Amino acid sequence: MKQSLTLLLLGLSVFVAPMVGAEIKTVYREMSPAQITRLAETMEVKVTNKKRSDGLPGLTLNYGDYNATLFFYDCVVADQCGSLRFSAAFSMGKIPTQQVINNWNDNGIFARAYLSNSGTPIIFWDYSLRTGATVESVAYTILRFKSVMAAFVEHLQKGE
Amino acid sequence: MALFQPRLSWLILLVVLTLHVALSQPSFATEPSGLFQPRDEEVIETVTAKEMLAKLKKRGFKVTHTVSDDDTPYIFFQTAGNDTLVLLYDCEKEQCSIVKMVTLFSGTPLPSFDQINIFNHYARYVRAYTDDDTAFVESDMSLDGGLSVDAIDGFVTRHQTMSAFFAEHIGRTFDPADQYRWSELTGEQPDTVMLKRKGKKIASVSKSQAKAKQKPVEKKSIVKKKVKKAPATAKQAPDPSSGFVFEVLASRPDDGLYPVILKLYNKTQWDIVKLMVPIRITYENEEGKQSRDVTYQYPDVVAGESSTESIWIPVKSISQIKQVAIRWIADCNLIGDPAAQCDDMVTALPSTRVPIRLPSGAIVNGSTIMEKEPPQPKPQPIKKKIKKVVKPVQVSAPEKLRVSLVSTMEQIEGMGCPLGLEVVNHTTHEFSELEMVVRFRQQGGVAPLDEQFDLGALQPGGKAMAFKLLESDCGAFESAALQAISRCTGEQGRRLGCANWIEISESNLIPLTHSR
Repeated sequence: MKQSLTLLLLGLSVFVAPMVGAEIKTVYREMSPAQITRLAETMEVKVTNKKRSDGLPGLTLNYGDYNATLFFYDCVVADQCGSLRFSAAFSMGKIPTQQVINNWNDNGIFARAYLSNSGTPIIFWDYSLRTGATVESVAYTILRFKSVMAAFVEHLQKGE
Repeated sequence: MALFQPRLSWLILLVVLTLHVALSQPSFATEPSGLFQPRDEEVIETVTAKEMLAKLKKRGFKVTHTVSDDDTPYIFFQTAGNDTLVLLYDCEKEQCSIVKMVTLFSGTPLPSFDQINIFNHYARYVRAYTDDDTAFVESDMSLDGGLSVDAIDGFVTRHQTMSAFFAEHIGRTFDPADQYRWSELTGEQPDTVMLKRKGKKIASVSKSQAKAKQKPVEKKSIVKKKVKKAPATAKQAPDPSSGFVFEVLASRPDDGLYPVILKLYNKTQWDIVKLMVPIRITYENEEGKQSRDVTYQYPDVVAGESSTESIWIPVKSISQIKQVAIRWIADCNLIGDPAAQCDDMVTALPSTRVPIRLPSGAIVNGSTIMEKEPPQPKPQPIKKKIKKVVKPVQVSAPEKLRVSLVSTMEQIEGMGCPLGLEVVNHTTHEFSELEMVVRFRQQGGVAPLDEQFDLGALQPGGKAMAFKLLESDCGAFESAALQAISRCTGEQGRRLGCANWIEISESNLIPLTHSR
């Protein structure tokens, strides 16, 4: 098993070496929901369109354990948008205290948390494409948001 | 950080492989692009403390580099008297892939959890929190996968900008060393656009600015000089290739209200978080020469786009508007740009005299319009085109902000349908900067619409109005309803304070009777 793993890693590293080592990459300063959808689906995240009251594009990302909403902002031409917001709301049965939310913002990473007016804990992660990002960076962010959600749930369950 | 340790090697490897497959499909690359075409650029996936130090030094910060007890490299500096740290994580051989930036707001009063919560709801890119005696604004960025070499500068600027917002939100002052501030209006140079950078000489001052700085003249001579020097002919709309360009548009007068519309063209490559443009409008009426200071606020104007904001002033006819002067700019808050971009925007500002364009398309020289009554495109019957169609809000309790919708029935040609919000302050509180996000719907409309209204300062007993130009046709309105006020900030800075004061957040349908 260990040998197979090593071989697999070796094989992969050869396969992807030119990409990892390269200093020149294609940089995007905006992306469309369609592009993000294809990217997310490649990573086995199920995507559905989400209607927003403000008319801007939105997607629902289904990670299996968690659902998240991806909002698009700074959309200038067509559906090409300059920034993304990953968002997830959690129903925990009881309303977490402000202290719990504060602790997350103190110790967490990437996403910020707040309590909605109804006491729902919500996390946001804003990601800017305008300053230039590779597709790989966007992909990491999509994947990482799942980890962030899981960590946030764990944090809420732990309480103060 | 434990959550993301070790370096996610497995995950990264898998992602890279997956992406390699994904990107080899032509569909992604061939996606039609908007403003910015994807292009091959140098990217960074890690940064060292030294490189980070150099970047910050280049921006003018006095920085100190050190290493914490747990070997985390960090850089310390001060901005606007606030301690700021840049910490680097996920490092291998000094190459780090996560950058965190934290600004500390010590001192009292410490913001409440409610204040922090509101900020975290409405802010972008950063998070705020407190401990026993300090409030923090923190943001982080992962370089994994590769970001443009400009991304770190953008990250620092975003953090600085949002820190300034946070300071304002909690009633503190914050003036980052690398952020320009326009001079306070002294009254001595009312028509001169002045730029001051606290404690620093401006790196690149335009010739006109340098002139203005070298030769401060008295108010009268400036006015005369400008009138002579600003012939502003019909086709002289300012059109620099970059920066902010303002255009003043005018529409038909009505009922003593006159919309002065200031159109902003964002010709920079940066998105604006918020741009405030206080200007002085001068005009004449039967009481003689008048002037009025108003502030236009442009939230969220993306690069390459324009935004239109209107303010209504009480004059009787368009001929009473002599000229409009951009007096000074109070704030220049940007996202995603190096600080130097502010220079570009300043130099691109048009002259302080802006020609007024009549709705008929006639262009009138701002300095000569008053010599002769400008031809009206078509005499309009003076009938009530603007009606306060909103039914009065139920007045059940004293000490409230009375909120109502105001609408015209007249389409402003080529601009849209005006919808206004009127707020009367029946409280004893003074609101320094009132903003309301109003949800309204139009009958037959497919979805409720949210619009933000910036009402400015509002004294007790005072009334404020703000208008939006909706893109939809006025003819499509049969009725409108003030459904809810989803956000109201304003008491003491930007702190959410007026929600409890609102007399009404819901109303019945407001019939709009069309005159046509």
